[in-house]
Amino acid sequence: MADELEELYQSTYTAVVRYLYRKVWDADRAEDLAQEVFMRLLAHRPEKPRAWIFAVAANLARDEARAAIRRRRHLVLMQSEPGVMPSRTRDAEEQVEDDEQSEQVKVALGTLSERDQEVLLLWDAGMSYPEIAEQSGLAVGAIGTTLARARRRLVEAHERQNHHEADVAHS
Amino acid sequence: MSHILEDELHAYLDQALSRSRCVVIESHLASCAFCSSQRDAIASLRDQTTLLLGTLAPARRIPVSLEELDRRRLAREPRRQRNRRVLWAASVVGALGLGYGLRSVGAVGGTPEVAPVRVATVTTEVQPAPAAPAPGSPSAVASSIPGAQRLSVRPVAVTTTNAPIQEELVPVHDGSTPPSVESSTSSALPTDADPSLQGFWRTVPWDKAQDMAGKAPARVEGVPVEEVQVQPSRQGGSPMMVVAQRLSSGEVIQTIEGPAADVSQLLSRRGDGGLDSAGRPAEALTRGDRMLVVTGELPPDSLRAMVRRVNAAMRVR
Repeated sequence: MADELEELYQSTYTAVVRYLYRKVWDADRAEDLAQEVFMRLLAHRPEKPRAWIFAVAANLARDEARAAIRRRRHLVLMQSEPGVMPSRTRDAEEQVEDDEQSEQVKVALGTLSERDQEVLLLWDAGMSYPEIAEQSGLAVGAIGTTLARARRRLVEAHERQNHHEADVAHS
Repeated sequence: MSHILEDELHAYLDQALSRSRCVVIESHLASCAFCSSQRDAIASLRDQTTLLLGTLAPARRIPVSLEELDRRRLAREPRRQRNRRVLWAASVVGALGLGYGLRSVGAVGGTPEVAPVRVATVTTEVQPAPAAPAPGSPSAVASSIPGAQRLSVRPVAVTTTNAPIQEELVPVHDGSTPPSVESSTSSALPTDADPSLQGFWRTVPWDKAQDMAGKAPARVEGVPVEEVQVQPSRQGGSPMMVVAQRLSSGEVIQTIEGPAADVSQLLSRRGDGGLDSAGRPAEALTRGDRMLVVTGELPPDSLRAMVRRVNAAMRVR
């Protein structure tokens, strides 16, 4: 069992961090939550660990989102304080383009319905159709349809973003 | 054969179809230019999606080892157990608050009436044995959360009278986690009786327990039932029942129901540290544990309601 868990940890950890990151949009927090998921895995040792891991990760991400809403007011106040902008380094400048690209995809992903997002992210995390169905509550037969729609909408939304950015640059 | 549906092509590319279905699709693709071009378009869409989602990934870091995570988990366990104790203490204080509240309601307008729910607490104060209930007293229900999943209680005084209850105040946290509510009344029942229960106990399925009691045995509603153990009453009549329920946090609540005299006797046996029916030493009771004894009906959500009530009372103070 210990070896199986170790193998699962090695093969799944990065996917769990990525899945959580796309939910909480904070790399450090995603790492913390992923570690929490695996600590709970060690305590519970469920029968279907892989599906269990992503179910727990989804719950933790949901709790995190609620906590973020509670913190928002405080963060807004912090942002309004002048004179605390960090100086930009050359590395940071180089990072800007990547960040802009990520931001566009993030916006595009946000245009998808919650269910489409969930199915798409679970698929990208490497889960099988039956596993996605179990977690999302959809029928296995509906996963292909949902994924088809989600993929199409993501790419279309991203293209719209690109066109919009190009229009803004021209004007 | 008609064209292959789009969602099936997605499933085909995602390798989510049976081998036999794949064979059918592949033979169709070999002879249908339209479906073949659809497949290529979907494959491209799929790749684009992967590429786009790939930009939404945090920088890769070396994860801590699983052993390290296990060490951290074990290191924080004792703290969680302490928190469970605090929760349990909170529930006892809550019970006291509810007892007072009901008494004051009954006292309004002259002669105090017998409260429908009577609550007594057991503190760590050492006294030799529980007070025997008055003959003909109502059935008793004792609910306890044992530490480390073992029943560990120190009964001192179990009262079924309407006399004022000595109040013991301990800090109560607003954020104390109440028992998680899960929709299950099913039972996955082990066959061995809990060794901490003395006498001839047998484990029965939930349905059987209901039949024997003529109603649903006393329990905290909304928490999955793990085990029901039954022993015939010494006085005849309703049997003694112990319903074990496991909270999502792992703690086990045991709710004991039966004639008051039998429940008192059981609790006193548990507290005396003697030998059990099998000749093994009974579980030692440790100072600081708490037990809640409720006679009469235990309403759903009562633990949370009681904690809220006492929290409110403490704030007023």
